[in-house]
Amino acid sequence: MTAPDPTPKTKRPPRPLPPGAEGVKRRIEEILRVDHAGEYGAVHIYRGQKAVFAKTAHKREIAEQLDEMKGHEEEHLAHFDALLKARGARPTALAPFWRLGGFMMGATTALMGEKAAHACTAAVETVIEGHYADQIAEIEDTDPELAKTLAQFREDELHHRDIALEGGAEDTPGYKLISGVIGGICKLAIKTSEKI
Amino acid sequence: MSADTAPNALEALAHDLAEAARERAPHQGWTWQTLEAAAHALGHPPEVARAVFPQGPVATIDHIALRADQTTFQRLKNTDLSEMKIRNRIRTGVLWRLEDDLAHPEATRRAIARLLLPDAGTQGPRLLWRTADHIWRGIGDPSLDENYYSKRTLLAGIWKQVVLTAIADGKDAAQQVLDRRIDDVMRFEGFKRKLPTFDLEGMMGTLGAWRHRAHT
Repeated sequence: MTAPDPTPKTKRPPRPLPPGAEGVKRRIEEILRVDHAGEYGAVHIYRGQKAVFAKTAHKREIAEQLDEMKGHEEEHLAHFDALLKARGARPTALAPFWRLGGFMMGATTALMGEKAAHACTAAVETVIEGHYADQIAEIEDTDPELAKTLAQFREDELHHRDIALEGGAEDTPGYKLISGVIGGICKLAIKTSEKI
Repeated sequence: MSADTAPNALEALAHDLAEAARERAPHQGWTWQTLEAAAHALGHPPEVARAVFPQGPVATIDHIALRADQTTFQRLKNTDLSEMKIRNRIRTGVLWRLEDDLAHPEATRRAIARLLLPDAGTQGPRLLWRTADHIWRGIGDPSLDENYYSKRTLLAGIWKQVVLTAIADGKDAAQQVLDRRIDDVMRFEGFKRKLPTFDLEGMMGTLGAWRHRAHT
């Protein structure tokens, strides 16, 4: 098992914040919007996976594991709900897409198999973890409180990734393809949700 | 700037200037000359008007609308609405917001006319949206998914019709329009609830049970 990595590492140098108080405020709102959308999508990915295993007695273990991870994402989501409202930022307008898309992505991989479901989790959490790391580097001087929250959430995502890898994510046939496609979808979703 | 922070000197000046312009708007319309006359009446040179509102009359109208939005928002926030049904909370918010416009009906009429000129761009629709946003947030609406957008779209449409009716036919007519439109929205919500729902989770459970059936 990979030990959770306490110091966020990012491959890229931190992105500079836009100039002016108004620019910073907008960028923070973007960050809240995309993170809210991400956690929303994550909840529904786990919901889709859990649904597939829910009626099968010998899959109870993974169903419970997925349920627990879904619980973490719901906590994160509630936190971003509160932050969006407190700062009067608008949410993503694409919620129905992330809800249905996330659910279908989770359900499809879970139908492929337990290990494919883990591969999905590993791919998603890897992108999310890296995305949080980038954001932390970007805002830790301007908004240390938010950076601290993001760092906590990133820990949870790293933990989920490790559970998935332990569960044999890499042994699923076509692991590279699955993780490449899902990682790509996540990155595209991130780009979109920052703005829309 | 949020309404609860103490207005600084520039804020106060902007407010005074906007109000002085609003007093003149019924006769002069919303023009640069109106703004400069307002500055003059407050004992400032005309340049002050251009410094405070570099985008001119449209920005002044925006300022006035935002203040009314923020006042309504605070009033809703400070009121215990828990006993009220959603429709009455909305109704209350809209009527409170309308007070500011009805206190200056002619200035409002000319402001709407000004916002229809091409250089105002999308400012008119944006003001409608912002008012709807403040009312929904003021009554503590929790939605952050697609309902966030549909609720604001619906209320912005209602607000537009209410304010146009109010300046044309007065408050009573506006209230009638408001009640009728809210009824329409509630009927639509009822219709949405009656739509058949599709149990995707149950279906996936069945599919999953078949896919992952134990092999003997």
